[in-house]
Amino acid sequence: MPVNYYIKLKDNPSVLIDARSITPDSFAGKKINEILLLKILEGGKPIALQDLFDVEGPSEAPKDPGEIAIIIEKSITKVSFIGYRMSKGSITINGDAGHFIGYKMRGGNITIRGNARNYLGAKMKDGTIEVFGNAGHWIGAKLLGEKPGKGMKGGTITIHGNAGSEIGSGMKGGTIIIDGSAKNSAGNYMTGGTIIVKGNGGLYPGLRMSGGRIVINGSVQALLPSFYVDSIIQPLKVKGITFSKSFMSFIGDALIGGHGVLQVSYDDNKELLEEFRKLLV
Amino acid sequence: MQEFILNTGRKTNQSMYLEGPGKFSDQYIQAVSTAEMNPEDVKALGIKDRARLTSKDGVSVVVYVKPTNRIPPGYVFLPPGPWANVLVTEDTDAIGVPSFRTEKIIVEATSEPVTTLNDILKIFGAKTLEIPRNTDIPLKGGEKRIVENVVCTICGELCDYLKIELDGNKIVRNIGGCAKSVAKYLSYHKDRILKPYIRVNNKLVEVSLEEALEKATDILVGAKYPLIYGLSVTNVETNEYAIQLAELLRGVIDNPSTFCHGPTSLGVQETGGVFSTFGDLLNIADLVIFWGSDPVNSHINHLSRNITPKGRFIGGRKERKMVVIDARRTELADMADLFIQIKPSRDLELITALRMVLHDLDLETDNVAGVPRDMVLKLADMMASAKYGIIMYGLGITENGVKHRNVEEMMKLIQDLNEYTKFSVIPMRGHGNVVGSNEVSLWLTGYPYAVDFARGFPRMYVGVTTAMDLLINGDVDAALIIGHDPAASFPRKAIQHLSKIPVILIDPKWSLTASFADVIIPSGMTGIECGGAAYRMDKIPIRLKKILDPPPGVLCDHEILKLLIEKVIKRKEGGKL
Amino acid sequence: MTQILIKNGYVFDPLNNIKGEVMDIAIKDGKIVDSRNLNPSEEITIIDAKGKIVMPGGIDIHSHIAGPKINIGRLMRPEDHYMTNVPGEFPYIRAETGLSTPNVFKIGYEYARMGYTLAAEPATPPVMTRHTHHELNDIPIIDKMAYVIVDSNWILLDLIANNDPKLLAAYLAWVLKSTKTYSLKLVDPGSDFAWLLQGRGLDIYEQIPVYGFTPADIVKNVAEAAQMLNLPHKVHIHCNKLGFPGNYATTIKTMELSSKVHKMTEGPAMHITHVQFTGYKGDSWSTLESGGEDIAKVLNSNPDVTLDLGQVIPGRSVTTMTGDAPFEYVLYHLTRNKWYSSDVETDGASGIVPYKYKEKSYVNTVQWVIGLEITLLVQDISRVFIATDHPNAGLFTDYPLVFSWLMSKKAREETMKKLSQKALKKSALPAIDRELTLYDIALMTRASPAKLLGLENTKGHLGIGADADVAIYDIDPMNMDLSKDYNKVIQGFRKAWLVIKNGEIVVRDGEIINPLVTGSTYYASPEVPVSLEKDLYKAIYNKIKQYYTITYESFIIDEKELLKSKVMNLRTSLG
Repeated sequence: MPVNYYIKLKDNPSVLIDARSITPDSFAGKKINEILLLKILEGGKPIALQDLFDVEGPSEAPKDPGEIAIIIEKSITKVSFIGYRMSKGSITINGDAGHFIGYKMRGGNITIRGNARNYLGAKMKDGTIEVFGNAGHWIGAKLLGEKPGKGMKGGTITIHGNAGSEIGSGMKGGTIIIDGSAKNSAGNYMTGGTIIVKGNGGLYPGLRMSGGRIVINGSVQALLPSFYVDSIIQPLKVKGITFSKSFMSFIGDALIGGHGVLQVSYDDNKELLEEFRKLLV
Repeated sequence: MQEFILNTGRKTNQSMYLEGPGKFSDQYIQAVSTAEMNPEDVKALGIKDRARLTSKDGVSVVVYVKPTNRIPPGYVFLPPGPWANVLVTEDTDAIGVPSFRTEKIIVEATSEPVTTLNDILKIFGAKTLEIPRNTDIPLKGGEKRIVENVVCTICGELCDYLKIELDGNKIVRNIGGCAKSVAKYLSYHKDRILKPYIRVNNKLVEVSLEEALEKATDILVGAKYPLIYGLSVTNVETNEYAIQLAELLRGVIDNPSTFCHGPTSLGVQETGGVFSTFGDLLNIADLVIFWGSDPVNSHINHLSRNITPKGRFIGGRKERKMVVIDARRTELADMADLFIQIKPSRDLELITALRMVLHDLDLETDNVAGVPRDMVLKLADMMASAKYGIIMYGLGITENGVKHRNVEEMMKLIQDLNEYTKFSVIPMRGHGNVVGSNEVSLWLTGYPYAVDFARGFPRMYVGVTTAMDLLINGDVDAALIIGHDPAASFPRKAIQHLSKIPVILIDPKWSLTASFADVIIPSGMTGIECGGAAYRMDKIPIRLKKILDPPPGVLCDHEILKLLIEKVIKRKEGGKL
Repeated sequence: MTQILIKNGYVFDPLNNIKGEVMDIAIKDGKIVDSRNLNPSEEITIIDAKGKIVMPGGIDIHSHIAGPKINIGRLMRPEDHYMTNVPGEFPYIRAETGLSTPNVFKIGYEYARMGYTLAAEPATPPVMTRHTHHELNDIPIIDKMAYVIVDSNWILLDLIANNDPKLLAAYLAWVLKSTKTYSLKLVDPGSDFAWLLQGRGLDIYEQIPVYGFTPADIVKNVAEAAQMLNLPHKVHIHCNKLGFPGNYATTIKTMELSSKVHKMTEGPAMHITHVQFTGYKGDSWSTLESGGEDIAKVLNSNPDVTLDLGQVIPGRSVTTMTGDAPFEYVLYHLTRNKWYSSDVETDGASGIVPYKYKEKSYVNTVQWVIGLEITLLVQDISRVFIATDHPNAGLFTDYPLVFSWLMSKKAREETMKKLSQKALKKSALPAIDRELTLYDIALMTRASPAKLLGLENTKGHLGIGADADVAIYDIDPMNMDLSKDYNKVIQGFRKAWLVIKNGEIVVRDGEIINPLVTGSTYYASPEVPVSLEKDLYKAIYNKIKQYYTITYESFIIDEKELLKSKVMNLRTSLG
């Protein structure tokens, strides 16, 4: 049975907070007063967890992080890096969260019952993240300058709301599901993995992808000529989800000899895809 | 009620009035409160000469409307400025750039008066509306002299051959400078901040420099995460001190490349690129392509310096082919040998198609982003068979569509072209020393802009440490603005945050940001009263000249920062037990 | 000012013939003094260096540390900064970041931690050199200098075509003075000019487009101009055909040109840099072999040539950056990853490509053996210099590794176990038993570099009158087997026990304790008679106006733009 730690902000912070020590792994095996003294940053000021947060929980944490559930009781829009490199256990945020939640996560799960900001699950290795609201840009992405494939490597990220641009940039594996719409260049430079957008996409999904699969169940703003049309399929099944619309399926990105699969809703993009449909005849 | 797309592009008279008569002049106000729309839209909406523009979160302004055919239907062009920025909402894209060119607004005809500047400042939450303006430097004739080879710092051209004629402390002529430069030099004395100020109960009160520095130190040391912003029209030394200050304060520092050519840096981070300097352009380029760039308005001397004249290996404009690729037919397009009109924000498709042709991949569709396939093939052929081609690209590429991915792919296109021939780019960098700001930041921190020191060492994460995100989301608790006017160029929410946090302003001239400042410290004008060095848009570093002393009691930016650093160190050391 | 007395250390000072004797070193007012000159009524800091070795501060004659291409390296490699951070220490110790593209603070602090007190940026294009000085100004603690690239400079090429050696020498003097640099650099001579017009580089006897003469002519003309100008460090040459299998032949041809140079002064006539990169035998990558033995032989028989190694460090991720744009273009094709190239008006070009040396790679192992073979096979190691062409073949912080390979056969063998055995079979290195001594290392990294740069009066030695730049290492030659315990050698040299710069203690136990000590930027100022200067002005003023896109005035760097400068005034034979 996991033990619960309840964390609540004392006041609304006026600056970004770096709380990478809020993970089951850093709590594991610690007494409550050690947990209260864990270091966090308020802007550039090093302070203790207790300076900003009230923490309620058992006087001694289990040694196994898998036995720890951290519950953050309200919105923490300015608090970033929660769940950094966590390997087990769970974190629930009952509100909005900041940047880099679940950065380099290795396992366990994170639930956000509000919105998340940028870099959610960036460079994630495994685990699950679920966001009930919207999420920002760079979900599951690599950092700029890194080679393609240095992004998310495994695990699952689910966003029930909308998401931003650069989803899965440079990802290597794992699954990202957006129930709402996404913005530009989803899956750019991906080498593997799956991105599913149930709503609309923006510009150029799959830009320079070399592997992996992108499914967009809505309209897209534009596609790249380096994607060669392969077929129209209906229905489309991916990761246990069935989409009943017809989809146009592309292979790309040809510029890098990519074998990625990009599938966009044919019904929602008839005008855009007319030229490609002619090529299939 | 029809939705339009707001585009806050750049126009020459607006920026000229910026340099000359200044931000409070009638000319500037007229320019930035006048929207341009397509005549069909104007007619359909029944607009006489004014319209009410409303943002998607319900805030509105009334502007003048000028119909012109240069604007496509469905768009509203408004020059960057307070009127436009009321309408720019809080969305920022992946690299921290607000929706300056994609904001959706509602347009209605109206006969209400145009919103005044003061009303806009009220919307922004200005701390004080009473600015002790109209303080010019008293001009006095006297020794007549001519200074040669003065370096203008307005734009990335860094023209270093200006001849400035002076009569005492009056600048009477600027020979060699473009229209903006002439305006700047001849009005250097206008609207100057001549004394330091501290805001007391919504009034700006004159104080001594020492008091102002002490109050600034209070603010900076008391902040948990201060933002330092500006710097792209100041010299190298100022940039060095600013970064040192950010490091001491464990704050964050950013400069205007964050919303202009930041994508150029980001593209190079991902892939590198092939670059040239002006001399290569002048002496050997036989194919020049302007892509999303309008130097006729942004870099006025560019063509006459680098394209028109003869070079060592090429006989001038006649022997060069000039191609313009743009979403709209600019004045430059009229001068080109070939104009290719491309659908707005769709440049990446054309770049991709060109690369595909070079890689011998089939282009399966009839047109690419509005460009017919034949034209794509023709352009690819022109490029591959040039002896030395240069693409000069601007905000059309960096501020539209997928921005940094546009630049990254443009760099790859150039790399591909080098299989066939010599090809390079010169990014048309905007401010006089924005390249210097990037270069200094790189050698001191390893990153070109948006550098944070919260953990005691430099980090850069676009979308997190970028100034727009920080201000719009209220992630910083103090701001030091150096040589810039965020209140005239940032989106509404960013400016509103400035009204909630303590702000220190270091600037030579009165600006809209003064209405948000708690401490104002006057500085000399870089390139006129303060020397140092700056980097041209092609990265050539040039020494700046000082031709006049700053007004009495007024220091140069780097001197002010040096004093601030000393005070901050003393204060923090004193605070340690 | 500070008085320091270092007692009981084993002193290695080849310029003064001291080979490890225990002796005192006294410092006062930034200089080495006779210990009897210390003022006993003022404070004297006593340092007990018992069981430790004392050397003059190290001198790095070739390391890419400042300038436009270094900064582009930083821009292109943000990933080199994400995980390599060291926070600063309030108030004056600045944060460090980067491995192969370090920021200026890391460069200064890491050199200081290794006991190095002077480093030379080897390749700055004239029109960009103001940038190089901006960065040099910001590198803390160490002394510095820069070599200016001249081989593809349009005006130089025009003047060579004119065949007026005195005017050419006057021009080069003008370039040195205007750019505040120390020596003349040739990078793949003439190739950047060919690259500009034809998109490819040149071999040493190929014709340069437009002009018709060859890179060998450039080498000879510049080397002779350097003689006329009496430059302390004459000409620093990165040979043609860098990076091409078989290029060792070009290197040998370049070295043999030294005998054709009309010598007017003492000292070597030319310096060949990072010879490893131009020491390849074979006709393809798969038949690559080391040309080390051949080059060592040629060095033995050409006393006017010096060279530095460009030693490869297996396993090291680097960022190659050179003024050799054609070579970097070739490397881009091998790596197919990031590539930056820049043409610089009138002055040449540069290229930057990230790279990684792999231990099991056949080619990388061949590259590794070359530098070591040369060092261990030459007769006169005073003409061989240890460098990794930072950050091209390795990092400067890898020098202690190189020391260990040179001093310990066991160290070599341990490394060789991890490398390509196929490549090692073809190399002479496994059979070499020679092990260098601490004295040899001191010679190669202190005494010889000081002489090579003409600074042996004040640098590279611990005699009276020398600048007080001293390094003390926790290495005890009496109680350590330096060959067996080579790891202690590496550790000892990597983080010095104590370092003194300008007579102030700057490093203790590998930690920076005085970050505000500032080094000087050295530059050469050869004397040119007034009449010749007038002729020069006439010859070049219009060319500068025509070729460059900045004014003549902008081109000239003012001494005030250097934070702290030291000028080397030179009498020349131009009068």
